Amino acid sequence: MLSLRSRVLLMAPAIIVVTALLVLPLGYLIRTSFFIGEAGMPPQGGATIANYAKLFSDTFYIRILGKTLWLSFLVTVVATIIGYPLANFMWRVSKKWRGILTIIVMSPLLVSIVVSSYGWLVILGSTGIINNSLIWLGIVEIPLKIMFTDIAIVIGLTHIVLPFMVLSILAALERIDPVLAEAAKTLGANDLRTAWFVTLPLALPGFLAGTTIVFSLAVSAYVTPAVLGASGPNFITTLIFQQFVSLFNWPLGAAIAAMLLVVAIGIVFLYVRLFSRLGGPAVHAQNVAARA
Amino acid sequence: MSISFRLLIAALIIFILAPIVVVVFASFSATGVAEFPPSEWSTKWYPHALSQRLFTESAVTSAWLALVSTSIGVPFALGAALVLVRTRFPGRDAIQTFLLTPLIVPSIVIGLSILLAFSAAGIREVPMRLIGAHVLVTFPYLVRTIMASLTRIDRSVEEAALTLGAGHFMTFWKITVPLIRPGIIAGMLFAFIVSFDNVSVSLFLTNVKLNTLPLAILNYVEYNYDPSVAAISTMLIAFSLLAAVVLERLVGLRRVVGG
Amino acid sequence: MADLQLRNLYKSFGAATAAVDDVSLDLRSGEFVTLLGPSGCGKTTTLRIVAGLEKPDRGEVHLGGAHVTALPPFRRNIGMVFQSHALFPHMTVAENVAFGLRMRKVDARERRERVKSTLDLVRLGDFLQRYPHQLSGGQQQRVALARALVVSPDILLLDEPFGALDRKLRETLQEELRVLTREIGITSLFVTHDQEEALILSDRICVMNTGKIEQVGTPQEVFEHPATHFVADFMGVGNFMPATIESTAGGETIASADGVQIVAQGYDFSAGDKVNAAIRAEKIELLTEDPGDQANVAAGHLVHAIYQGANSNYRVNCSAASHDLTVRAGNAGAAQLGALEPGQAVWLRWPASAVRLLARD
Repeated sequence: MLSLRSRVLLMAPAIIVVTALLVLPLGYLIRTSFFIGEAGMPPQGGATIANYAKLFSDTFYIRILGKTLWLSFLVTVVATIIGYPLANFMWRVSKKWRGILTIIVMSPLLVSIVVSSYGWLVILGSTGIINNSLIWLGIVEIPLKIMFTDIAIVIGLTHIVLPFMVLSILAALERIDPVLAEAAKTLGANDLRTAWFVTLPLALPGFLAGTTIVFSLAVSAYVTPAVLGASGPNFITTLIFQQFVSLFNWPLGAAIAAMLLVVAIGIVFLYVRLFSRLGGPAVHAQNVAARA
Repeated sequence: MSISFRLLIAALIIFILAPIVVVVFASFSATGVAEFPPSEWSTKWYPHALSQRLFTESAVTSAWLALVSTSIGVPFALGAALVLVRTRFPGRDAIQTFLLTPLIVPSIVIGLSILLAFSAAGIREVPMRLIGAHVLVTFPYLVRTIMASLTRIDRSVEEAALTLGAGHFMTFWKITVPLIRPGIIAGMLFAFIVSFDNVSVSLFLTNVKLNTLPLAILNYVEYNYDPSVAAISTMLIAFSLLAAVVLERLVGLRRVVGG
Repeated sequence: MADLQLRNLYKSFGAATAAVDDVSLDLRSGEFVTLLGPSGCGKTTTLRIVAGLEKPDRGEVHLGGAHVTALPPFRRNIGMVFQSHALFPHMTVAENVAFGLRMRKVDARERRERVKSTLDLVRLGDFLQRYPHQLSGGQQQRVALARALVVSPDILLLDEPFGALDRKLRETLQEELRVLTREIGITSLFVTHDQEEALILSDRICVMNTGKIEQVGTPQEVFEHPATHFVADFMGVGNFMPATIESTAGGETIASADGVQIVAQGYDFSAGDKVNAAIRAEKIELLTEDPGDQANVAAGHLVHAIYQGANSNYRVNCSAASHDLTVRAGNAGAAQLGALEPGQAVWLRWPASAVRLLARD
């Protein structure tokens, strides 16, 4: 239908926009990571790998990077464990209830993350709901320290990534022909065996997609660790912020950002590779790339 | 479904809604500290929040920024979506993935790279930087929703218009555009929310004079614990809920996010 | 109203076989012609080439004497009805029907009159302000027909318009369409895979297979005298007996199939030619007693009988046929046949006029 000329005219502006606002700036960010950097000094030209060398030799940075990966892994595991029952429930209820549950499950996504972080502050704080209840029940005498710890980060992150996990699994479940489960039951499989041998394996692509999205979202989260975590750099993102805003070391900050970029894109790339090896449709991989 | 399974689901729903519900309740607390449930009820924090220029000015900035960025993105996204949905050519999938990459690049990295590149290019105006960054982060959502609504059009409806004597432009304007309008509006609404709520992209791009609402709230809670933030947040929640209902009616929420 | 000529149309979508392969067809002004064939036979592609929705790789389309091959659909004066109705969901019935007139810049008053009178024609004059989703499937298809007709097109193109409707509704609409098109006297090109529908509606039927035309003829010709094995099979002949020509004399052709002598009327074969003798199931008579040594009689055993309401189908195993032969007999006056047992010896007899001899390669 569309002539070659009109295709180019329609397509080119979008490509130019993304190139100008994403590709070129990312290129410049990577270039900056090779500048000679020093805290408090404007970035200077030149080309050095000193920034990267520093990142991989100083245990301070390695520890933060390791902690980021570890907490993101925990978040992914927790989100998978609690995401499956939710998705399974949504899959089985009536259409009307599924609509209501969709709004509930997606609410962390629709409500500003600043708002929900503030909510966790009220719940987890030393005079928050949890501690007040525990004290009132006489279980503890002095408030537990939950707020400004890694636990708070995991709770807050799990909350905001959960919608992606549930929707990924649900999408996979919906592609399963419900007759298959019935067939398994007529062949003598009980509910649990049906779930284990039929439903779960068929929903596997959804789990893969969900864990990929969730992990890459968790790694690059900023607000949750900044608000709920201990003060000071406690996550790769807050470390970047500190380098840029407090220490003014742009080249080092750019090097950390470049590493985050590699991790986040690497995860999705790994997923796409893994999935195509499993013989899954490329379309699905794209869906994941799109949602992450 | 067993009782224990239902209880588990109930617990998970409480987990999901807890921080949101708590904020709403806290906003009606009469004391100076956000608490749940409030020991005394009051609506005083609403006028208090609305009287603070920190919030009102940044809210105007955020709304303006979201509206401008989203509107700029629509024509670009529409053109790209038309080609991606309507034609098949080698490299098509690659281009589609390329246009959606802003979604897989961590937004803090997007913010940073725009800061560095715009500074290097001599663009120092804060609005320009913010608009550039927000056009980029909202763009994939527009492309996706418009593509989804184009895909759902029955091609024979457009062919019918052609056979009835409508030219290509007329067919596009009288048939295609009205049919994808709900999709475009839904995409714009979701893109608006994405932009309005964004923190990590704007983080490096604002200054003292021009701040967005989420950043203003973030700065405020660092030093204040009073419920005026809860009041602002409750208003944002109400807006999100409204948007969610509108989106669900227009095209279905999950389609917007990509389910 | 105009005549349509298709000259050597060829269209390939890059697959091994062409979608449309050297199709030539003439429609006289006011004629109703059906393109009939299984899915993928090229009938829809041919129709879309006439509409201008597909461009042929080679060949020409002439409409009303004008060469229109290179024209886009909106520069051809056509009316098309799609299988999915393709009504504009955001416009009322009146707006849908008025669309083509608007595009032709017909002034508002005339537009209103023509929309009303055309909708009256399809008995939907009271539905002007409804939206498509408020109509039943049959009503939607009538609106689609009105929308195509209101512009007084040179030709009406219909792409399986009743495919999505249930049987009863389909029959009603077929009858309406037949009456309506004859009344207006509009040239029509109709696409379907349903042979019965083609027989009911058409002045002529064009049977297609793998992009090529197999036979063009009146419904009677195509049904009674299929030109090829494919057409015979597609029109539901049912019985084929491989046979060899023995002699031709005095307007009679005699062939033999494993000892059964088959006599047919006419034909231009020579002795030794290999043919298939095609005989419609309902033309065969089922006998329970040996009629004696005759031509056009075959002996066999009943395999089973299947009751089908008005008719019964009898499967008979004959040594002369490559597989079982089918006999269809009315149940009205055939009480004695109902008592037949599987395995029983039976005889089949058919008149020479019922035999079609088709060349076999």
